[in-house]
Amino acid sequence: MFKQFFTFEVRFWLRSWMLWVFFLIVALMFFGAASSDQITVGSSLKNTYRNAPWVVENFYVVCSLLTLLMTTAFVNSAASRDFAHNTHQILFSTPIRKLDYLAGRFLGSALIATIPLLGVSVGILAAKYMPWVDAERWGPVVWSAHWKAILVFAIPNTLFIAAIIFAIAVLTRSTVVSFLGSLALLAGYGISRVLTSDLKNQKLAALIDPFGIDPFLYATKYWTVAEKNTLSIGYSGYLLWNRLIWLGVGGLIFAFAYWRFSFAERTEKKKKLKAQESVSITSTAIPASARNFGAGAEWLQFWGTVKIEFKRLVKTTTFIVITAFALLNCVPALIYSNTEGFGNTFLPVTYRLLEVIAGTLYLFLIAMITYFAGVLAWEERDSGTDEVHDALPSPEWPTYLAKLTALMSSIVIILAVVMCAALLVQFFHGYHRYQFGLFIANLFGIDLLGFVFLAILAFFIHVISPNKYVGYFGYITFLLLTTFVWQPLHIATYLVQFGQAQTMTYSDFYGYRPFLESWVWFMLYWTAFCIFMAALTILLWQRGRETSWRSRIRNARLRYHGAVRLIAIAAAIGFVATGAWIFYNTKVLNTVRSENDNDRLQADYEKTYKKFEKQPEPRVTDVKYAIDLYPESRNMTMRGQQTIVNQTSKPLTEIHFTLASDYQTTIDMRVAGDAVHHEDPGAGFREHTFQPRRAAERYVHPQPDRPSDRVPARQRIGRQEQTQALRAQGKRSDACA
Amino acid sequence: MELQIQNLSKVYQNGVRALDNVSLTIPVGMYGLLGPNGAGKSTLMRTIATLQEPDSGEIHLGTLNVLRQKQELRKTLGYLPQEFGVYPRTSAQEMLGHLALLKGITDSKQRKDTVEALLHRTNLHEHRKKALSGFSGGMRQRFGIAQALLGDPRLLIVDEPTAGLDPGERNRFYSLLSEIGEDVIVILSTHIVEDVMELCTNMAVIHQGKVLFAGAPSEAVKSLEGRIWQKSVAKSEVKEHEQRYRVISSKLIAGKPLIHIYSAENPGNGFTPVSADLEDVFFSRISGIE
Repeated sequence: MFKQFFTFEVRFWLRSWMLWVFFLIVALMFFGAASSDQITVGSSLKNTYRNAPWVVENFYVVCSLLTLLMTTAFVNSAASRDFAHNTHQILFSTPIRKLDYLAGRFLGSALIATIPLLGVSVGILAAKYMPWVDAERWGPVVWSAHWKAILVFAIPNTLFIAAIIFAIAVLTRSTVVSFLGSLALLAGYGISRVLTSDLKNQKLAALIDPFGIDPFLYATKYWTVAEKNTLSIGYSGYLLWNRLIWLGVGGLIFAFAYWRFSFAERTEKKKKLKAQESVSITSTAIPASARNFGAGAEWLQFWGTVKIEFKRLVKTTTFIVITAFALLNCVPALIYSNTEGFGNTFLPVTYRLLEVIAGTLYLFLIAMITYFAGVLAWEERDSGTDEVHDALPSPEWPTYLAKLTALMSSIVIILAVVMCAALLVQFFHGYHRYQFGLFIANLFGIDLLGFVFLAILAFFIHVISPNKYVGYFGYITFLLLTTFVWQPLHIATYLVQFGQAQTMTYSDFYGYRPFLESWVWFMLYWTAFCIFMAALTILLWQRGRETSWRSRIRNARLRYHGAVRLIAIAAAIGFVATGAWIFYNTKVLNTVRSENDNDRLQADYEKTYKKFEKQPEPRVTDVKYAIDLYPESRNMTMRGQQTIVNQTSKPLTEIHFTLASDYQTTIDMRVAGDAVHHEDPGAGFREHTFQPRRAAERYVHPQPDRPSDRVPARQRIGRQEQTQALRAQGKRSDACA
Repeated sequence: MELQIQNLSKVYQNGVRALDNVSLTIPVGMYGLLGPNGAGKSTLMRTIATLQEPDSGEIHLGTLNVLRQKQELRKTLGYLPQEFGVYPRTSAQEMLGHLALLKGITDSKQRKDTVEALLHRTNLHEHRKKALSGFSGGMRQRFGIAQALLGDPRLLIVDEPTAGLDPGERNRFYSLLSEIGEDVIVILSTHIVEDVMELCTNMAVIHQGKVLFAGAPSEAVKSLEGRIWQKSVAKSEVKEHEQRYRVISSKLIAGKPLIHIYSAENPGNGFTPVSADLEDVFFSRISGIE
């Protein structure tokens, strides 16, 4: 019997969405943490290999704590399934043994709960082969670290957590209590770590940590970088004793649950039936009610749908677990953000906390948008309510927009929670320069806009997909393509990278100013695109059972009137107009160079001027610079004087200068009493030869051509390369004597 | 107001001819669509409910072109699909209130009253706070009926409405329908003959996408008067009788097959005359006799 319960449990979960969503999120998170510095889990990776065995084991330790709520979701569901689905009366009247039943459910769900943890290994192993990683930071794969981490941390921690949650779930039969229990466990653990952090006896501390973090850190405390890069730790020393103690405690908790559990039905309080209820059944007349179908009614329907969709969304287990997981990664990172490495402390300034939030939270938000856009777009069809819903007189837009709004509301709430956490962190660190405006502009302006774009895209792709799976696949493929396909094609412009614009770097000196204008233009461009896409989504919204494209296009034509039509046309015009304007500025007035262009230019430069490599050159013996910086326009003017002396034994016929490519340069030279003036409006691969009286000399400035005629106000639009080009408004003078 | 269906045809991608040149005129009152499972009843009803497109043909409700003015039609429509699920994580009361809002009842007081009344009429009032996902089959069906009745529909389409209802609930639902059906077009599909007998003033028999009969049930019965004969036979004799006579139905009465045959004259051989009922109409039509 045990085998049946166990295999049922395992098979049940292997077919479920939840398991694979959790697995993918963990894999994605550690993939990101291992392959980039933008995403962090625990502490950022410093001097070891990015896949060092110590890092792998450390990731598993951290992750087995982070996945606590995932474990709760599996184990609680396994423990309370028969009560939730009213199958307990059937099941418990059969001659099954209590131990088989409980142990099968418990071990089956605990085994499943370790599967998301394997995402750590998958993420790290995959990250090594990404084209953008620095090969020098990656060592050979140390397999022993992976399996030891799974045996020492993943499985025992999951078993321990699972035992506690299983006991709570079996004894209380309440999902809410199970989740509260897991949160209490987490909070209690956090508090106990603070209390034991002052413990003089590190050995004792290493034994009483139920998740094995302390014994791991204690055992590897004095490891060198080389040791961390090559050694892995298994069952030994304090780690062994720690694991034995806590597996034992887990076993005792399970035994307690076994002892207290009974198949007998609880005696529930019978609700008194009101006598008059049954009387009124046939007598009530259905009152007449006024019906409205105008725009006002549609807005009311929109808000009503937002409310009900939002309530449903935040009640799903998946939402609760992913949110908790995300906050567990983000909030501690905020708390410890002022102590970054080697005993240094930082002020928790706002823009830094915003960076921490982006690094620790946004991956989850993107995962949530991806998953729930599909859930919401297919909600009616998945639950079989589509025929009822589609025959209602409410048009398409309130439903669509309400689903979108409900999804974004859940994101807004998470952002608001995180913002409050960041403000509290600032408060408790005694940093009282609260920049509410910056927090709000960044989280609910710049970043939220990006999330809205993603959600609109996801809904659109789901609406044109024949089923949910194709929708998910199409969405992810599209995002990968738009991110990675352009570089190999030698196309470098944000005009083709969905929802992208130049990354804005905030500075306390000048805010976002130098980037803002360019950013705003690109956002107008993408906003127009997304509004157009939203209008298309409404036109193509699946209604009824007819899925052929012919009938969908016919329906779209029927819907194409009034506000939708106006908005679609306006958005299309806006998209084309802003696109043309940006194109004119970045491609006609200026050039944007891709990385490949830069490489080619560099190669040309080296080929052309290789011949001067061994050329004797005069020495600069004295320099004086006066530099004026204009940060708000990212400009500078530099006036300099150099004294160049020929220290070779022969007379020189040539002097070579390397000029900055992005600046206009004027050079005045006095060579043996003759004044030489050269103005260089742009830079180029040109050799300017000039003929002073005494000796034939020439100078060369080896940089690519740039258009010289620029209108300043128009030039700030563009991506980073572009913006550098725009800096050429400044003048630099090199004077030589 | 009348619902006019003209030359409606629909062939599914897998080649099934669900509607084959269907033309019907449906007046105010209860209209029964009778046909075996898979006859095309649901396709026809979905098409009228704007959820499917025909390959050819037209539907008009009064002056309304149903296939083009979908949104206008939906404003007058109440629809109970044959199969439907429930919205997860929502109570019956909350969901019904939401559906009422989507049906255009924007005044919250009126909405509340309407929902209350419908919950009472469908006997769901004591379960109103319960999650829909915990509803039994019969409760779900009653919820489906309640939502179809929201907002005083002028055109009510109910596809197999009594499936899963116990006899008491079924009667209650019929009295509700007949009460409403006096000045509303009610189209009711079923494969149960008594349903049509008890309720409908007009009916159509549909089989393999074709209309085999359209008119009043009494008229249909009259056309078979004196031509139906019955006989109780042994199980082993059924096959033989099927070869010799035009058997239209065979059912078990107390474990013994009772066969009905169609014959213009007295077939003799132990057959006794029987007054035709709608069931005979149904079976004779779908077995291809007149």
